[in-house]
Amino acid sequence: MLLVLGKGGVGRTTTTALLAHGAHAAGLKVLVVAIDGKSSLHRLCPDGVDVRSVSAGSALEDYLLDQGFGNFARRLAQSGVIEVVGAAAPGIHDLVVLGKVKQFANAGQHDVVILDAPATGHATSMLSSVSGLLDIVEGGPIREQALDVQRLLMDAGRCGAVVVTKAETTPVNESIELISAIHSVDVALAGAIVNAVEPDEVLTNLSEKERSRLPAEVAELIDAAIARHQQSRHNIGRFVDALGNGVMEVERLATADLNRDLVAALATAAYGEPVS
Amino acid sequence: MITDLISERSVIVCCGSGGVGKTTMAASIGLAAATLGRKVVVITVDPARRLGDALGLEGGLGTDPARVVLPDDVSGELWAMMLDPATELERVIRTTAVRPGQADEALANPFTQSIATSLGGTQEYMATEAVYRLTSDEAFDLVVVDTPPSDKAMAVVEAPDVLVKFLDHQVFKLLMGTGGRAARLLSAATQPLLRAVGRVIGSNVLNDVVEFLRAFTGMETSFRERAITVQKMWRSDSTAFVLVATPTTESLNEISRFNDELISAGISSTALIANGATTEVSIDAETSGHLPASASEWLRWQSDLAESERTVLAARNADLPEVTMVGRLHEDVHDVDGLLQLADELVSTSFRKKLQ
Repeated sequence: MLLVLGKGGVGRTTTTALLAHGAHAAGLKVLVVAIDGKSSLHRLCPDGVDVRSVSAGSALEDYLLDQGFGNFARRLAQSGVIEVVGAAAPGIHDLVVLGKVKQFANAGQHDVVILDAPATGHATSMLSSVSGLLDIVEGGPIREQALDVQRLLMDAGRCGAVVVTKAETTPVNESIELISAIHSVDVALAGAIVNAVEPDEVLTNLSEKERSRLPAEVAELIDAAIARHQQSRHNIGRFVDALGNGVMEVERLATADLNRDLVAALATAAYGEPVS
Repeated sequence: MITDLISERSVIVCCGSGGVGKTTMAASIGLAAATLGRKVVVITVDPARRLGDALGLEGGLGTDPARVVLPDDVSGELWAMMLDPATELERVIRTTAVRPGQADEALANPFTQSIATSLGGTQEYMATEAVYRLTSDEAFDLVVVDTPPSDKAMAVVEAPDVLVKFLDHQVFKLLMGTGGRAARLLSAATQPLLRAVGRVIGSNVLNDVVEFLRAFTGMETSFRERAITVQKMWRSDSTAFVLVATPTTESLNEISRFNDELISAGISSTALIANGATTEVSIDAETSGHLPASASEWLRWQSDLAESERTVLAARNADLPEVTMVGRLHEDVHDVDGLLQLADELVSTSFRKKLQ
């Protein structure tokens, strides 16, 4: 099970699809899980990859059904009273969502389950909600569920987090904080990806003389791009230091309209040609 | 379009997914209005440390409006605050209490604090209480709301409806009941529905919940009245919903889904800001022929991207409002000058590019 984590807007969904392409090309049976109905995964993942969506509300209903609450489940979930009660045990929604993902992982129908997790702030609270609940709830079905989920999350042989960032300063700062948050909940780090790296390396080839001859409008843009490039390399360096490990860089394509084929091309560039 | 909103409306709600620059846009909309002489307060429900920094507020944003120091030639005022659900809840309880000592009792309940931070929807509901309070405050003539990321923003919009629904729900009435306290607890605990809840979470917790709700007895009427006022305010002509997205299919699809939810809630959005648009460079063939290979290669990438952005914006869902493009900045906004530049780009006609 892979948990894809990162700040909003860094391309978690694209990265989830990229990992799905890679695993699928390697011949693995892949399940991708989106939280709260993000539909673009269907559009970006290759055919043959299963995509499912889990919403907190329906996961809670399912959980209650599984616990034998029958028709009460729906009424409870809809009345709003379960919400009030849930406040007494913060994180119950997160737990049932993770419980659902765990069910998928344990069902054994897939070789790998990739979870497109919510944005950073919520994702770490999602992971820590499990131990938080264990502190509060002393017994019963909720505790059992939390223990099960925790067992899976902390099993480095089965579960790992993939941290996604962009090379800009704020996302890298937050990703560095995210890495320590992941360590603190004892989840293994399976990998790190810098997404949307712009192809501005090429500009560093320009000599001083060439730069001085550029038309003013172009020169301004290119100077800004070079400054950004240097900042990006610096940020990626900080990210690598914090990880104590290498990162995979995924380039930004010249398109505002990513699709399945383009993500497949990015995956090939990142992993190399699939072994046939 | 944006200029009209900024000069006329009394509430502007900025909505968008995480990472699209929504908070920065809310701040620059506020600043743009201040330059037009208005008295503006920006409230962020999704506190980003950077906003406090960018506004030059020492110690960051507080839970009360703090005045931002602006250049002398700005005639209006800009104030900024962040929502702290626990503080707001205390404020609401204190102003709503119907008998002496009730506020202290309600606040002493251990649930009250945990409810503010962890009950789904409470933070969003507190946001509407805060907006209501700010709009009733004569010190301000424009309230700019920076909502949480779009998957939660709808909860802010719907918070008053949810509260009214909850107050009207049989379960709530059951829990509040009539008669003595012991009878109430007893009857609550014997209801099948509540017994089921008790089985999941424990009956002691259920009794605590009943105690918690009981502490609010008598406050329902004003909670309901305010909720109905906010319901109307979201839909009034003096409120504008501004959507913020990046110019990509992914982001536009997301904002379009959000816009659909707004439409189903009877709200129409007024503007769409496409933030971080790639700068287009038009160079004649002769000049481009003389450019070094690496420069042309990079410029081609840049102009392909810009063209692709224009294409996806033009192909956006027809229900989305008119687009205002804001170009990608060379660096993160980190001070009032940076925000002023952005505000200028947002309203100045010379920068405004309308997409047909």
